[in-house]
Amino acid sequence: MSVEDNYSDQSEGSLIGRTFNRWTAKIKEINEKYSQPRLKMTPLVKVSLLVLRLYLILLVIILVYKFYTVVSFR
Amino acid sequence: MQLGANFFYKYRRFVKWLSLYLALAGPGIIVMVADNDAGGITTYAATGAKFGFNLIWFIILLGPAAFAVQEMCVRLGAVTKRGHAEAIFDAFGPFWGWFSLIDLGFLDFLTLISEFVGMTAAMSVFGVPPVITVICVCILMLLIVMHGRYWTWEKLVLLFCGLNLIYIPATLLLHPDFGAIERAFVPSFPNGLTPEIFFFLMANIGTTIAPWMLFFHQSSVVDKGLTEKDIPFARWDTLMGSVFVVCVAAFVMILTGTLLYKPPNGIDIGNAAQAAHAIIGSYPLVGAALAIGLFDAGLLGAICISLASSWAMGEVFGWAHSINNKISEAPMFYAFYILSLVIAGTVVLIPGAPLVLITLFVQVIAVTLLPAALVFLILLLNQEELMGKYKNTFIQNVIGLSIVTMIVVLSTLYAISVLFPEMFHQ
Repeated sequence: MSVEDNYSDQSEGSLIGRTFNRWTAKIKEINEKYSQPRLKMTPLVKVSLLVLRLYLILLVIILVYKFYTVVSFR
Repeated sequence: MQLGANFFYKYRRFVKWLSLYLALAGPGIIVMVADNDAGGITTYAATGAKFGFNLIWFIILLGPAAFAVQEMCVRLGAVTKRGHAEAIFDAFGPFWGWFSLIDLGFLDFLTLISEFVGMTAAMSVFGVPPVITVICVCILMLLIVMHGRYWTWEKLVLLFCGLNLIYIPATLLLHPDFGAIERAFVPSFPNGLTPEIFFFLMANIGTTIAPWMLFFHQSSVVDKGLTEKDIPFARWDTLMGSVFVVCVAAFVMILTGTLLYKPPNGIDIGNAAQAAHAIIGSYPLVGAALAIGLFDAGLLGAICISLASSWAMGEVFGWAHSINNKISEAPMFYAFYILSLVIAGTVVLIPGAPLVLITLFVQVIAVTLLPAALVFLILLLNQEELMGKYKNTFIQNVIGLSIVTMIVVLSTLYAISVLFPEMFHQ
C-alpha cells in the first residue's frame, strides 16, 4: 500500500469517525435536553402510555408471526 | 338609509374577514388536499369501481373526522409554536420522541415511494418514461422551495391543490345519474356488511387520516407564524380543506362508479392509472383528467410528506427548518428534503423493486405510528399549563376520543387485513 493510499484511508476513516461522533454527541444532547418529560404524569397519562406500549408489542408479535408464516411456507 | 348603512357595514366587515382569511388560509387546505394523494385517489377509484356510488355516504362521514383531528393540530401548533415531533419529545421524553421520529421518517420514506409509483404510473398513460417523470418531479420540487419564502411556496402549492378539482368537470362530462348519487347519501350496504366491503371501508379510513398529516399540519402552522388569535381562521381553513377532500373523493368514486362499476359485484382495479388506461380509449378527456389528477395527487403528497419529515428532523436536531430560510441558511433541512425525494425516486426506477410490497407495507407501518400520534395529540390538548384556554373541552374530548378509537381500531384491522388478506376476501 502506498503512502497516498494509507493517508487516504486514514482521512476517510477519520471523516466517518468524526461524523459518527458528531451524530452520537448530538443524539446524547437531545436525550439530555428532553430527559425530563414536561407532561404531568397523571394516572390517565400513565395508563395511556402503557396501553400504547402493549399495542405496539401486539403489533410486533403479529408482524413476527406473519414473517414466520411467509418463511415457513417457502 | 339605515338599512343601506347596515348592509354596507356588514359588507365591509365581511370583506375584511375574507381578506384576512385569504391571507391566513393555506395549511389546512394543503394538508387536506394532499391527503388525497396517489394512494388515496387509487383507493377512491377502486371503491367506485367495486361498489359504484354505494359508499359515498361513508366518505362524507370521514370529512368531519379528519377535520376534528386536524383542528387539534392547528390549536397545538398555534399555541405552543412547536411542531408535533418537538412537542412529543418535550412532553413525553426521548423514548416516545425517537419512536415517533424514526417511525415517521421510515413511514414517510415508504409513502414517498408510493407517491412516485403513482406519478410515474399516471405519466405512463401519456407515454412518459418513469425516469423522465422522476427527474422532472425532483427538479420541480426543488424549484418550489428554493426561493426561501413560505408565502410563495404556499401559493404555488395551492395552485396544485386547485388542479385536484379536475375530477369534478371530468365527472360532470359523463352526465352521471344524479338520482342514484342522491340515494347514495343515505348510509346502506347493498349486499350487507361483507368482509370485502369492510376491507374497503378500512382502506378509506386509512387513506383519509394518515400520521404525516398531523406532523405536517402542526409544523406548517408554526412555519407560517400563526398565533392564538389566528385559530378561528385556521379552523375555517381546515374546514374548507375537509370539504374539499370529501368532494374530490366523492367525485373520483362517481367517476369510476359511472364508467367501471358493473352491478352487482363491480370490478377490481389495482390502481388509478389502470382505471385511466381502461377509460382513455372510450373517454379520452376523462381518462386524461384521471391521469393528470393522479399525477397531481402524487405530487402534492410528495411535497407535503417530504416536508413533514424535514420539519420534524429540523425541530428535533435543532437545524434551521423554515421554508422562509434560503437553502444556504438551512442546508440540512433542504438536504434532507431533496435527498429523501431523490432516493425515493431512484427506488421506483430500480428494475424489479418490490413496489407493490412497499405500497402494502406503508399501511402496516402507518398503524404503528397513527395511534401513538393521535393519543399524544389528545393528551397534549388536555394540558392546561401548555394549552391554557385552548385546551380541549369535555365535548371536544368526547368527540376526539370517539374518533381516535374508531380510527385506531379500524386502521389496525386494515393493517391485519393487509398482512392476512384471506381474512377479508372470500
